[in-house]
Amino acid sequence: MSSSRTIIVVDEFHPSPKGRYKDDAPGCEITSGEVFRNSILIKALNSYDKVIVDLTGYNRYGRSFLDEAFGGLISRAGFTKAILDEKLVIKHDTVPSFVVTANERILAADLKKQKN
Amino acid sequence: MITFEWVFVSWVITLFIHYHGVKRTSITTQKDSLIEQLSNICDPSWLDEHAVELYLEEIYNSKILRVSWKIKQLNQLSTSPLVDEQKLDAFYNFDIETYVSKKTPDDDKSKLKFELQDLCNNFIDDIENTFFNKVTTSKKFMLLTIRNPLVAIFLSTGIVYLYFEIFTFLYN
Repeated sequence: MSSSRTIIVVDEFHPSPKGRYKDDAPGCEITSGEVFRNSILIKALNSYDKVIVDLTGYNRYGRSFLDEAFGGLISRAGFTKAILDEKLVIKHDTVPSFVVTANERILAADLKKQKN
Repeated sequence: MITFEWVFVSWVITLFIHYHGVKRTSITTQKDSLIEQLSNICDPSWLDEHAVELYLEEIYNSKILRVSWKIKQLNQLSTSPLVDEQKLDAFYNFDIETYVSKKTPDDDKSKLKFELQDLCNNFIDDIENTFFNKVTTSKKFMLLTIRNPLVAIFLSTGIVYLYFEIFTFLYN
């Protein structure tokens, strides 16, 4: 039986996620994409067959946050695009552009990995 | 002799003209405000060299969000969508992090500056073009924007007419 988990970012992580690394600026140790990926996302992807990341509730996601949180899964955490295509769903109910950007960052990370 | 019906019809026509004028002015104001917000994004004056990079990225994200709300408001106001929200994807995907980074070489910064300026200018051009074709010159747009009040007024006119007919019949 397949299991799934929905991560509501603004409830389970931080109401205003921002920054790439935890040492980008004061406060980033609890808001950055790196912290989100390491503390929530990787664990969920390793434990469940399907992970839905719901970004709804915050409308100022930066490219750096999305790149580190999602692209970082490929560039730093060893996931492949095939695995993410199968297991990861990203959504935002009001601003679909964040979903487009996050998926584009995953693709960019995958292309970069293939080149190296 | 000018009957009540003719006075009513001319009042309805005047109301339509006034409504269309007000609506068009609101759409134009909203469009100008959107263009101003877009111009602010490519204006480098908000780039404070001494600020923390994340702070500048946050300013950029806020500016994009304001543009996004303006587009939503403009599309809502104009009844039929004037600006495609998906065109903002390129702004969300713009590498603002590298652009505001102090470590980025000047050549790369210049390239990104031109890229951002290009994005803004193309988007502004697209908005102006759509506005001219759909709002300024199109007659169809006038009917589209006033379709709801048009139906409401015709129905109310019908009800008022029936009301008069029924009372005339009853008194006769």
